[in-house]
Amino acid sequence: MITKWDKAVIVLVLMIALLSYIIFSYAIFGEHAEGIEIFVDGKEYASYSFADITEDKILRIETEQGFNILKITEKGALMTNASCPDKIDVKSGEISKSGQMIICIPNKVLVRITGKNKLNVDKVTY
Amino acid sequence: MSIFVSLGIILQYVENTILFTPVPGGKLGLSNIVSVINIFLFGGPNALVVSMLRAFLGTMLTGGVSALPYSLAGAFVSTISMWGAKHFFYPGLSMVGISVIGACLHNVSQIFVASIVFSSGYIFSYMPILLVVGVICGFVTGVFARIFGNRFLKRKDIL
Repeated sequence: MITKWDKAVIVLVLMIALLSYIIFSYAIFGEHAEGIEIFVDGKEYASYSFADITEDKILRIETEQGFNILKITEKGALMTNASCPDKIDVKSGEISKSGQMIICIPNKVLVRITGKNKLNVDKVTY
Repeated sequence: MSIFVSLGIILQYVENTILFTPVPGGKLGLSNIVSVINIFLFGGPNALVVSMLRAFLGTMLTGGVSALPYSLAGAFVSTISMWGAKHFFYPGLSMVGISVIGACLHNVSQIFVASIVFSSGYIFSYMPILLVVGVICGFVTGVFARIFGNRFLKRKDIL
């Protein structure tokens, strides 16, 4: 049987999830995308402003582990191909809102959309 | 003991081969079934050794070296937490609740590893979805663990 405590644990975790979702969505996510940042292995690899992007741009990111092909459009970005076996980054699809990310764990590549969040704070530091 | 290691590896392999992963890190964690049963049958230390061995060997087989820190951290944290949960809260908390705790902390520990690997706190924005996934997966594996575990417990004499 599912006990009282089991239910309590499930409810508690779901509440933590909801609470952290609300906090993150205000602190990190926003509607207005300004640019794009690409990090490899924790270091900044490249960054672009959407104001400068007038046509689709294909970027090949070379890492120690392999490569990722990133397509940057006027509104967002998507990973079109990658050397990693799971292809989770490719399956993530297109990101276009500020705060959204594509990560490739095997290649240690992180792509995120920069811009103002809902609190209109430019950057969040941890 | 080695039977349990190989059971875990097989489940991990099957899961990687046939199951589609909708979100990064969203896996059912079938080998968690083995860890839960193990804690009940042979106790925490044994389960910890088995799950670490399983994580090491299984990941070498399926995910490659880059997935190793995630897998080891996940196995370590989830087994320790389920052992603790069983020790302090069983039977108030059933196998299902214990499994949910293990699955959620497994995911949280992997977010920590990812934030270290990427040296970026932005990874934590995956936490809400991974917690929800953890609840669902932990629930499912917990139910399986109870079905199989009760049969094992009844026939402990043959093991």
